[in-house]
Amino acid sequence: MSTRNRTMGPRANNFPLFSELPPHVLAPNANVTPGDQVALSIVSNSQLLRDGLVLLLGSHLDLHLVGSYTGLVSKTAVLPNPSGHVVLLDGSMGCAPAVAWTRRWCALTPAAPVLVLELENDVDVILACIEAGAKGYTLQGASAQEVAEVIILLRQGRTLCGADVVAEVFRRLVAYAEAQARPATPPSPLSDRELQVLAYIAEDYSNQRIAQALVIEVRTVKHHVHNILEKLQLHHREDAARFARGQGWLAADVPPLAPPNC
Amino acid sequence: MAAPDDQEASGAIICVMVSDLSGVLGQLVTRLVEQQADMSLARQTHGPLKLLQAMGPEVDVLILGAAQVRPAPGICSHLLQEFPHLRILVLAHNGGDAALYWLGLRRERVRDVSLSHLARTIRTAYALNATV
Repeated sequence: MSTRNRTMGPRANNFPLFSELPPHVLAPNANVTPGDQVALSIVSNSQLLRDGLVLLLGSHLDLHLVGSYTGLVSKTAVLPNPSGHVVLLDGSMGCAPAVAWTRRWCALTPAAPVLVLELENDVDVILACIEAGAKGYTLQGASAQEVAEVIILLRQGRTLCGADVVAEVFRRLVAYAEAQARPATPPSPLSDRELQVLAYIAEDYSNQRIAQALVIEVRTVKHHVHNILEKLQLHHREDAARFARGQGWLAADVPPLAPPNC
Repeated sequence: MAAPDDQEASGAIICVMVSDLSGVLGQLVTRLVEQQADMSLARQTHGPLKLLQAMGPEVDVLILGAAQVRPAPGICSHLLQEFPHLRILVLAHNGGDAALYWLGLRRERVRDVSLSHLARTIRTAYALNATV
């Protein structure tokens, strides 16, 4: 591999430079080294970008161009992939097409990792492409050197992510774990109005105050309470409120209540 | 209009400025310009303010990166008013589309946006200059 120019323009990705990575990241697999020949396919509707990638990556990698494609193609049009083959996919056309292309090319070339290039710096777009099967990405403005570095890591089974992407992945993992740990909420047999009444009961509101809060007649409140107790087969309104709260029925849909004016 | 190849043979140097093109495409365009014997790269800028500050009468052709090439980016009309001889080649950020703008915001779509034709397109833009 040629000597890298450390004085290139501002780095588009918040990635460390290849040469700044610790040795265990650079060579986790002794069989893959930066000097190996890299087989690539390039997918972009921009002839200029395809030309540019071939020309500029050639000064960083021992490049073997397998195929150059303008976009979505049929399976028969895709050339056979040698092992260690990487697909470079132009993701500059926007989120939905980038995700669709990623999904399509992951299906067309399941053994070849797909690297999405020229992505906008939007965590949701990046993660959507990763969920669609991309094994790596570079942002708009990434230099050929940065693309080459990500390709080498990708062939080692590794990738680089910006700190904001990692933070969002952590956040989603926590949310997922919490959702998994939370027992499933059984469906409520109560109507929305009955749940509203029950929420006020849980806050120790009298029937009269509930009627004021919901702008209904007191007798209508009583009717709702009667139905609640009958549906839940309970005898006391406090028990009904406690039961509903335990089931998680009184969570998000109930507006916060002001304390009763005693 | 002078043919682009005549232009190359005439010995004149086309002064090219590149703006708002970064990454692979920015590297490609600047390298291409630097490799042409009849072109010189004046400077490379990012952002409209830097572009306005850096633009001068010596620049013949501006290659300007933009999200869309049509309609012309707003700065084009200002630059063409200030520098009537200027030719602006607006290139989509991924290089998939390009259009040439000159005085009066007249436009010509660039049909072939490829590496092999880019230098020729710049010469064509410069040759348009001679007709004004």
